[in-house]
Amino acid sequence: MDRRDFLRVAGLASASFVTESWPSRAYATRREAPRYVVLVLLSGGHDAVYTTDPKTKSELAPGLDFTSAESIVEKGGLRIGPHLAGIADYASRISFLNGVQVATANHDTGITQYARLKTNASPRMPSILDLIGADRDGQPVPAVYLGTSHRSLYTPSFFGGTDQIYFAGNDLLEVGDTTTPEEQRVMAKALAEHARSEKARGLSSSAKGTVRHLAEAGAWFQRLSETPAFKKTRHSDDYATQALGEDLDRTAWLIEHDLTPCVFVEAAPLSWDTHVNNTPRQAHITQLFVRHFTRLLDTLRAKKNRHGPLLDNTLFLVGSDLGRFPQLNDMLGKDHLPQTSFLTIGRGVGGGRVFGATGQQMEGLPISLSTGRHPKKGGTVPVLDDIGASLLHLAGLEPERFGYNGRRLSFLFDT
Amino acid sequence: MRTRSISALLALTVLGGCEGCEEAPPPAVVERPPDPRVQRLFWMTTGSTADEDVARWSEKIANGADITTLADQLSRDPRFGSKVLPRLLFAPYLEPASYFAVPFGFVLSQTEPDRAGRSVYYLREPCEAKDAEAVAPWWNLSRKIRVCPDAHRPDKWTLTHEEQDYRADIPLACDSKIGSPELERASVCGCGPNLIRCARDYAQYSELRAALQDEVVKTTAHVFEHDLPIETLFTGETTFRTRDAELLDRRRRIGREQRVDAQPLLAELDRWPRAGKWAPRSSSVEGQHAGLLTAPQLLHLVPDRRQRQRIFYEVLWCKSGEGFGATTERVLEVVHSGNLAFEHDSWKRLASMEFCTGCHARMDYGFQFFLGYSDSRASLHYTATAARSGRGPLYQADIDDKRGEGPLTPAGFAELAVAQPEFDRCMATRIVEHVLADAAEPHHFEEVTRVVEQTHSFQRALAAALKMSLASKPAPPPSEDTTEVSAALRVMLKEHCIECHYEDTYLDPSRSLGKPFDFRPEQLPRALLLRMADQVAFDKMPKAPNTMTHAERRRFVELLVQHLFDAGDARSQARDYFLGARRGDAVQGIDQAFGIVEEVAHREADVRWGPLERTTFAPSWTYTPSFAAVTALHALRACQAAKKSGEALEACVRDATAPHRFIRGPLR
Repeated sequence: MDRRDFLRVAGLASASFVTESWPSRAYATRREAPRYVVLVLLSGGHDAVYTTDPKTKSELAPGLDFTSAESIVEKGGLRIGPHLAGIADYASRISFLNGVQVATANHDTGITQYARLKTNASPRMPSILDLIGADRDGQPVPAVYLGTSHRSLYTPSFFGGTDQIYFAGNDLLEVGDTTTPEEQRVMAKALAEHARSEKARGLSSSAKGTVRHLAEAGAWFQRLSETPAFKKTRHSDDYATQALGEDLDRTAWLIEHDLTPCVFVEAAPLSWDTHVNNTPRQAHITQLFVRHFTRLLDTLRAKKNRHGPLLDNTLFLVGSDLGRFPQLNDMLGKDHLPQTSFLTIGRGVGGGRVFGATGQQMEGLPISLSTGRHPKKGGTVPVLDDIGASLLHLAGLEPERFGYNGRRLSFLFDT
Repeated sequence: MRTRSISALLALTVLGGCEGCEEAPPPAVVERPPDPRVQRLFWMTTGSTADEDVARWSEKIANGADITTLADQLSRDPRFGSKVLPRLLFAPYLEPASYFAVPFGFVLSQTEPDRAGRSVYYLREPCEAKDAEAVAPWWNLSRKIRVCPDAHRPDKWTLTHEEQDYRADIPLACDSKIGSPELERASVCGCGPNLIRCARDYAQYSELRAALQDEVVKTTAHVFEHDLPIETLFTGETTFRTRDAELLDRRRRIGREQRVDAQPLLAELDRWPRAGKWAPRSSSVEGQHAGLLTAPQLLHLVPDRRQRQRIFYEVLWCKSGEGFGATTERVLEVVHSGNLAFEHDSWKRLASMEFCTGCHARMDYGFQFFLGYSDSRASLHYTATAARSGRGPLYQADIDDKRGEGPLTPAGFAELAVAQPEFDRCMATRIVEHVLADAAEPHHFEEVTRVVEQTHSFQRALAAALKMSLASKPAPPPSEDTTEVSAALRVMLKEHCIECHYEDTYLDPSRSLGKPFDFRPEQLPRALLLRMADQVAFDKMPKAPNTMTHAERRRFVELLVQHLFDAGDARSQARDYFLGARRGDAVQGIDQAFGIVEEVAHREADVRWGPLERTTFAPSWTYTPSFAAVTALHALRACQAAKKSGEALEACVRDATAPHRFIRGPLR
């Protein structure tokens, strides 16, 4: 029985629309592919020197902001900056990739690119999670976006929630939480019927898209009616902390109940865009993020669903739209740098390794595409597109067919 | 009145001859299906189902009336100005809550009433009733309430630099977010005279915030309905303000004048119509206002001046805030210290630097016109002493693209900005993108731009776009052309690309970011061709003034796909991505969709939405899983409000979410 047969047998009437007009993956069943992919955006730009790429005074050019040697945590093969120290217990499962070029010092462009893991991306392009989630194994929607505030995240397959500060949280997930299973079934039925009737109407690609998305929304409500409701936990009186805590709780809920293969979390309320008072603000928000992120990892480590242990089946990529300039400005802040770094953990990540290299000015240096280390000779500087291409490859998709011309970083994921 | 088809009436004549019947059965009414063009015209222009009007016009058109008469009529319908146009022009900037313009920290709390029934209002911590001060609050000047002293402070208007560790050279005011308990370093400011900076509670706070959004919507509606020149929206002192919006304007004046007693300015506010009126705003110097650009919803939506300027250029010139091509090497080379905007005149260096000039010439010279309005975190009123005097230049593409000079005031900026061809083109674009959706071709934009240039009228622009939509021809089917690829591609590259792409040799992705690679060689690298397909398929290339019709774009991408991918799965999957992109049909704006759902359900839904859909412009309004789910949830609540249950509820939700009601596009 192949995957399509499985879907039919499973009786997912509406889900069958979902898979019909989108060719399946070349090697969707490869064992190493994670069942769940979570992409986390530290909106505004985290500071690499305090997180993934700590450097002491002697390692940097004069005048640049550095990390004190005693604040650096060395554990599990990683050299961890002080703001990320709270994640040290997971060090042996984490990898860092430093010096990734994003070719922009502009947040709008950076966020558009980050969601696609592709430089010079257009907001009209599907996100990388939309692509990975398009051909899925029974989950109702390709991807769920949480805490979004930026319009370039409104992708052609967008489904999810908004930032609770600017949008007061009244998004489809929050409003959906207030519905009963019976009400959910009413919506599921209506949307599935529309998908069927629209399918009869349409020939154009946009009509196919409409059919697909109606079916996905209908399937979502159907699955919701069969799933224990999401329960909010009170984490803090501070709205930004509460919002982040809730979004990460919801991530665990989505994975546990197999509601989507992909989750995008924009940790927007915290804002890493620290043009003023960089160090204390970066410390505060990154540590806050780490506290909730490790709680999420703990939750996933402790739980399993019918597909296996949750953390073992999930791949996390955590990064930013751009990075911070290595020198403090007059307001003790840091401006923009067209370079970022990534933290990866979970399925496909070897862990305990630092890839990429930066120089005395924190500038990205060439690396070997096979080892991820700075070679004595040759090499090439990693670009955001390389991460995108590598992730698609891991997920069993041929990157070129989706406009990715990045190189495969064979060291990044264990495939 | 409902329409009946002729065939149905004939059938009734036959069935009606019933001898011996005591009473003839009531004639069955068979409705003529509404003309879909008429239906879409109404949905698109009124944001309403307008069932009866649709039926009446469908009948008229079936009887020979010219549908363009309807297009003309609807192009003057005020509902377009109030329900549709504001979203087309300001979408991303209408919905987000303006936490800077109405600081969240200035909401009062109230203690439980004591034995004497007295309660005390406070900002930070409650105080003893005996310590509270009696104040006549702005919301009811005739009845004093008791307020903790630290929540009052009527004579404290500014913060010293010692009282806040914020940016050094910006005036700091108590009416701002940093003067509020939310961002204060110590308790320094209070609610001010008559508690003018504060809201009584969160309900009142929400009303004030909504008033800012209302100012944008109602001003747009007024300009449209009265067919005022489009430029009026962004120039001059006048806007349409509800009583709450007027209060907020007076609040800014009180701040500007640092009044200890606000009462004289508030006393006759009751005479201001609650629903609002078209009236000038207060100002202290000539040129302080620039239409909606100086309305707080736009002016103070984002904190810093560059971000503010970015909003202005997107609204006025459809110039997005994108910036691509910066390299770490270059940024390290050119930036030595600090945020150059705030270091004397060093912003000028940034505005002329390679890579930076494409955004910063426009933004940084632009914000010199607005220096009287501080960073939104630091002050909410105009400070004449912070403004620059004299005249300044305005740039468009970069430092080599100067567009004129004007007085360094918001009005000076606006007069220059609306005189640029990009302004006319942008206003036309917003209308065309809505009316023709994905069927919009370069000539549609050009023709409506000409109408805007000549008439300065939204109504005329809308009429022109609607008529084009009625006349547009179906797009040709996807090309199955198997012409020799390289020759055909070469022709298209020459026509659309080589003009810019002739200098830099493509090396590899890490060394070629953002460069206009040379497309002239006979052999081009595969990685470059892939990027080319991606950029053209998703409208990133070619850049203006070069344009492509949909058919040309499709053919270009088809040729590239054929060249890059072997027939079979690979090509099929690539074609699906590059030419389909998982986009659903174009749909109405989310608020129009909510309106349509409620009309079908005959009840309003009690849901206050905050969906991401509201932050996008018309080209992104497509059927997404989110759109389908949000409209379904809205329909559920509206149908329940109409007391529907069981099968009736199912039917109501199904009817209210029928996709044909939302799909937008050509009217042919």
